[in-house]
Amino acid sequence: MTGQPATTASEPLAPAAASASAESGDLAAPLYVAWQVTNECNLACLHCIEESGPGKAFRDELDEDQIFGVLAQFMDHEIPYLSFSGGEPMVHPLFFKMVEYVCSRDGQLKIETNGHYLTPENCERLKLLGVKAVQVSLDGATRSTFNRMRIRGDFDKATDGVRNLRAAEVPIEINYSPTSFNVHEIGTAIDLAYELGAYSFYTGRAMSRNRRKCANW
Amino acid sequence: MPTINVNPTDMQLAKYVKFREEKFGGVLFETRSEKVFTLNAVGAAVVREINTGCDEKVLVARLKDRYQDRGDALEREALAFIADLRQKGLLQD
Repeated sequence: MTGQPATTASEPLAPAAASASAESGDLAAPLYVAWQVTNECNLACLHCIEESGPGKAFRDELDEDQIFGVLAQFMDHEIPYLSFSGGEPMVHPLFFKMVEYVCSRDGQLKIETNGHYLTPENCERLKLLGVKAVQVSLDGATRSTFNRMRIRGDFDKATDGVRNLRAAEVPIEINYSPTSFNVHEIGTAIDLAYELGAYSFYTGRAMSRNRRKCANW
Repeated sequence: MPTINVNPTDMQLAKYVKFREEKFGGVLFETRSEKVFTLNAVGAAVVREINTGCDEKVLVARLKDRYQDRGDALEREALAFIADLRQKGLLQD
């Protein structure tokens, strides 16, 4: 779609349409904010670019006043779409309060999680709060592959979490980080995502920045 | 507590579509597909009216009045734009 703004009757009225010249610098504020709300995580995945894990919260993570000050700025600037990730965002003590705040101000929010805290109660709560979607990382279609990648992780817990999302009618996305030892399962993983009720399946190149264990992936 | 009567013929943006006004007009962000559509001033004016809750006839009448349009160009283009929004799944009726 292309066109010119029409502001008076004397000007030719062009289609109200997309402007090809608009770039991100023309925007009053970002359209999307991806916030890694903590570096703390219950897992210690081989491929984690943040090297998150148990006890890995940063010492200077934002306190409550700072968190809600930042969120207020986001919403005051009408940033329409946010995601919370980490680390594992659901281990943050203020996680649900943050979700509630964003959703109450009509922001669209995606949660990116390892799925281990997706109990039926938490899924129901996320549904009631109105999150746009929950993205769960499933880097394997089998227990052995998933658990190899996701140290301290539990394939059954993650897939049960996805099933709990489905039962609560929360939109589901699945994320899959391919490696030499799990890529052969990706077709099965797509089928699994479909069976679990996901509407979307994301994958891309694994980013193995620091962990030495990833050296030959 | 006051109630808001919603006309069944009123248009509204689809559930996962967000609108924000910008200096150049506005943006529509479809957050499920993560697609962004930039709008010029006329497009933004159409979406602003949609957000107030109205059907196509009312929307066109309001825009014609605002832009003092006596021809049919505005109506034609606004309706084409609305059809485009609908075709792209950005509107729900």
